[in-house]
Amino acid sequence: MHGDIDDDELIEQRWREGLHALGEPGDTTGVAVRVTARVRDRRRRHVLTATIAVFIAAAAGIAGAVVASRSGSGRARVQAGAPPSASSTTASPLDAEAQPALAAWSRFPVDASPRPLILLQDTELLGTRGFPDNLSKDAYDGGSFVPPAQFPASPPAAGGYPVVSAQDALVMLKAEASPGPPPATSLTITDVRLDTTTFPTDRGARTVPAWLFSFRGVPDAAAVAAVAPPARFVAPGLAELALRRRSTPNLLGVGSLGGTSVSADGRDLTVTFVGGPPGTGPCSKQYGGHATESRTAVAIAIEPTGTPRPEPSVACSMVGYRRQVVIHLDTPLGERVLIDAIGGDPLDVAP
Amino acid sequence: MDAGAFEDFYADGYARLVAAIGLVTGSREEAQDAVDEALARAWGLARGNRAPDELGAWVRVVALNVARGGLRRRQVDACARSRIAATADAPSAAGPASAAVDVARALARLTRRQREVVVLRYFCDLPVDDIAGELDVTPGSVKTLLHRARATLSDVLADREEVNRAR
Repeated sequence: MHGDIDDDELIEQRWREGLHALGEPGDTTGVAVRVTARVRDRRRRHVLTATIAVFIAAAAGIAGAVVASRSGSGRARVQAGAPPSASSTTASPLDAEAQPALAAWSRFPVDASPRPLILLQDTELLGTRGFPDNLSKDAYDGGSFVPPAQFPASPPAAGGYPVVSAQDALVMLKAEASPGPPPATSLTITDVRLDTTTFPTDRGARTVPAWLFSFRGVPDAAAVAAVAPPARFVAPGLAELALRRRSTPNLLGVGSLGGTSVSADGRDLTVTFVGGPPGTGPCSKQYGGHATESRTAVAIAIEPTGTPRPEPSVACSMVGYRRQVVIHLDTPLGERVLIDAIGGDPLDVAP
Repeated sequence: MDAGAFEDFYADGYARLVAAIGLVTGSREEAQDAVDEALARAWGLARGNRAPDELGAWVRVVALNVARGGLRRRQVDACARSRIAATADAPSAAGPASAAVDVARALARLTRRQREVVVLRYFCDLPVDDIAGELDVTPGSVKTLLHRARATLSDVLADREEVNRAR
């Protein structure tokens, strides 16, 4: 008879052998299982790639049956040279859709001189050196900061603009926090100073006064645009309007719009965007532009036209093409704000 | 986010973890679902820049929790036991080397928690302290559970010898 310890060791050995025999069954089965795992593995990666590709397609607003190519490449290639199609401001159901967005901009002081700045972005991490670890990145993204004991006093104006206080700038930086559970740590603010930074506006980039925040352990500082009203105009309620986009999935999202140029007489808008391929093949897409005008803003929408793709008879590549449409306005754009018809976001206009 | 950690896991740890969870649940499909679910959650966290530090261990713990099935735990466990018992009785599993049969019979008699501990210890080769950490119990409980599991396999072996002698 074995002693207790020997018995235990023997039984443990039995458990090991038995579990391995059950879990990794012998020669041929084992190989089959491993091969299956490898095949699943490949498929999985493909699925991941495809997911990313679909995301890009969604950003590009490509609707319809889209299947990732066998190569698994989901990069959006931008192809130039497609002739722009023209459309005009005829009556459309989009006019009614655009009313909430136009309403958000109804108080824009279109006659004011100088024209108030419309910042397309008002906070930015300067530089590309990143964060020392995930925790501090998490803290930055989550807007979790330990404020300094004392904020510097703000001058009434800088660079010809009225200036917001450093405290208010920190509130703006926190407001940029992405949703999610609160970060595990906070970034300690080590320095706050007033400087200048270049930010995009709806009429091109402008260098404006900005509060720079430095954080312990983070190589780059964060800039917050310091321009105060009335030198800056912020449309109210755009966050709520952004939710409306889900109800208009066939319209191109604002993210796929690549910039708009306006003709010398102010009546022709050439809108550049990323869409499906031009031409007449089964994968081709045609687009039309539509504008709804108010006294203070012009709301534009790009929608696919023509017959939808026959499904599921074609599988199209996921390449994004540089496309253009020209939209004719009833009155010149002037100082009015160009906005997305659904979400109300201000859009960049180049002369 | 480090996508490489996921690729490494698929290459090295995936099949083995599915096998381990399969031993606990008695079903490879269920195990695969549990591991996939755990990976999907890890991927979600990683996209939010909250990737688990030790992907393999994290996925193992979450997959075990998923496989445990929350509210349906009792039914799930009864189901798992009958499946494991079926493995033991299946003619294909019975061979000259009957370690698999003995162990399958013993597994079918264990509680869910005992099976988890046994699989983590003797199939995943985790130290007792790590198992305690992953299952959130004391190392003492892990030792007790292992002791009972050994006793169960001992009983199964004794039963078989009795049957053999009676023939």
